Amino acid sequence: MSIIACYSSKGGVGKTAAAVNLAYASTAAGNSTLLIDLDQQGAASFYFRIRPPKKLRAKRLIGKNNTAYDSIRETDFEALHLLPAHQSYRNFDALLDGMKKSHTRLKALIDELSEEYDQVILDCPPSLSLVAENIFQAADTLLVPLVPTTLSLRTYEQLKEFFEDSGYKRKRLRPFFSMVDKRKRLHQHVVSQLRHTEKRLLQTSIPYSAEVEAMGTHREPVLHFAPRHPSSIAFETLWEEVVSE
Amino acid sequence: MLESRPQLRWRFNPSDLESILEALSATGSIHPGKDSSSSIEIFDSFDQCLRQADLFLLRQRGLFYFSFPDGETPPELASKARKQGNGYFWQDFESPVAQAILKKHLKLRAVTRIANAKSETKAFELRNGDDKIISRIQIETITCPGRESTLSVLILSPLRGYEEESNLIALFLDAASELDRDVPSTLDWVLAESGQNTPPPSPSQAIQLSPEQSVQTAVTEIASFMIQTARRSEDGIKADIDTEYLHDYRVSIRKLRSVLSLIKGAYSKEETRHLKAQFAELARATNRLRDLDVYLLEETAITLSLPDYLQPGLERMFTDFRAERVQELQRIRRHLRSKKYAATVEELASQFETGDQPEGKRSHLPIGQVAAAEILAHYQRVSTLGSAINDQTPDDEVHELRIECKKLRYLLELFSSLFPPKEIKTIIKQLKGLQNTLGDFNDYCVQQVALSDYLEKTPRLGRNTAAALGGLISHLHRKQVEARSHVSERFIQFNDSKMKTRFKRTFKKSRKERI
Repeated sequence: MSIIACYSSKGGVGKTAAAVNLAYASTAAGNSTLLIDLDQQGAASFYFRIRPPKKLRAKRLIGKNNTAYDSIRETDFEALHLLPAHQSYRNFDALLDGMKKSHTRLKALIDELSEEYDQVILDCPPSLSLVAENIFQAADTLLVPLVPTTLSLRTYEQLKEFFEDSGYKRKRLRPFFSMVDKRKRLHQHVVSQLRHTEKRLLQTSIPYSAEVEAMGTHREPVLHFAPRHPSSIAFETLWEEVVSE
Repeated sequence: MLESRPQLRWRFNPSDLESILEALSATGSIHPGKDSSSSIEIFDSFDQCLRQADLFLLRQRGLFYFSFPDGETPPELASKARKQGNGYFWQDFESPVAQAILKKHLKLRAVTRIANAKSETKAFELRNGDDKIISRIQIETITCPGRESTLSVLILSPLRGYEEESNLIALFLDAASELDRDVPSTLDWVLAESGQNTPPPSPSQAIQLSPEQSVQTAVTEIASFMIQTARRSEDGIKADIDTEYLHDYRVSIRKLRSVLSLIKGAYSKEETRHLKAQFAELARATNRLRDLDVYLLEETAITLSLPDYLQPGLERMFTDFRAERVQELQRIRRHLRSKKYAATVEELASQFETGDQPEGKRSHLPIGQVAAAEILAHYQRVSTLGSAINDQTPDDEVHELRIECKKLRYLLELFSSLFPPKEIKTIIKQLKGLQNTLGDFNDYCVQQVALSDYLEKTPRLGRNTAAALGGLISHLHRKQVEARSHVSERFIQFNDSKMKTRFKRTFKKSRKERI
């Protein structure tokens, strides 16, 4: 079993789109897969038409007598399960702050749930707080979507520094370009720049596409409703690249 | 691996399908999914030894699977069979796990397809207000080729986390009068529908005698069962599925002949003589094929009993045997298909059916008394012969003991329904031990004769073959001497003081009671 987190401290960079489609690709490749939606906005849950159960509160999720196991929902796709997000997740940080072992709560939770699954994928909230540290502790691989702008690269540099300072292994960080618009000169420039300097950069880029945005109306992974679309092929290739290592 | 989810099943009448679907659509949110069809092929040996062990061997798209009674097949047991032929032996399967399981149950038997069916599935999805699937429904229709009836099943599979919503649907379905929760297992249904509900009966199950019935009716019952059993084996012999069909055929005929000679006077002398001659002829026709089967089954063991450098010398002989077996099998096929054979067997079988055979001296005596007396007499004979055996006794007397033991064994088995099962079981178990040693002794003698015969009669035998045969004969001779040395010890083990009282207790009592 391996744990992949889709993580960025910035919002709106394509984390959820990646998490949802990679989870779909993982299942299609024959892995029983659990997608854990950790973002209070619950976009991943929304894409799978799943509402959070009323009982599922942040406190219950990571505290004693957790209800996580009972809250897992089967998506419309066989062997792809989802632990939905709840609004109360907005208080995650405050909650963790008062707990013992506050950095490894998530890892303990995943260990408990993951017995049945070949692959666990985390859709993470944008933050660099205690929740993020829990994610860094738990994940084997952190996929970091980068929109090819200067600001994005700066944020990634900060993340690397944070890893360095906190003693996390930097090789677990795997950035990839997301929402790439080939017509924009800046995008082209940033992409080619980082290709030279960042050896852990994944080869596959996810193009900017209206079809990915249309996931909100279809409420399905783009890989399912438009499997031959260039974005779908990119997600598929990204998945193959990630697991081939 | 994900745990398989519970499914709920209902049986219904195919003509009610429309109204059931209509009622379901009234719950609001049913969407058709993908339809599919598949075939169900069930494999087992003639005696259904897999099913007896609660094991199903299935084939789908060229792959074999096991299905255990509690549900799914572990995928590592999926296995390809190597050869295309009339049947598959355990060695023919690719996966070592499958081989191990099959070897344990099948032994010398091969599996063939004993039943097949077609399964057609219409799939539906039940969705909630968010258009999220909460349950899947499958309408499965199973039909066996050439049969009228169908098994129609509605299967409700709740998705994980949506059990509550699915339970409401289940309640709704329970309330519908067209649906019945009492559903046979698909595989059981297919077997029943294909006329394979039960394996062929074993003699101890099928022959149920009562002590008071007459000798003639009892012997007729046994003979009739044996001739039916032999006839059931004919197709398997002709199709050459495994060697056990011929073996069973011969055992049935041998038992039939034994009951005629062991319980004398069931029919008139003339009739008995006539029957015995007829069945002896049927058995004789298959002697050579059985001999060849035995040699070829033992090929590996025989080869390994020689040192490496002599082993290649045996290839010539086994090649000859294989070639002879092809011809012999052809001959047996022609024999079994001949009009003469059909007429003979038909006539013999119908004689036992009608039950108006000429009477003999003991026709009207009660079988309980006669069988007990015969068993005691043969036990006495075994005792006398066995006690007289020491290391100097000539081989002929050992053979005589073997034959007497065999007769005693047949009597015990054929008439087991008349006596306390526990006693019979113990006696047979101990007798078997003695018989094994005597059987080994005999096999080694017979094999030496057969090999010498081959050596003498085969033209242009190479030096290597001759050397290998010589080595083999002396090896068999040593084994024969060894087996012979165990006979008296084995006999003493069998015939301890407990055994003597056991025979008295079991058979003297029943003899007296009935006089």
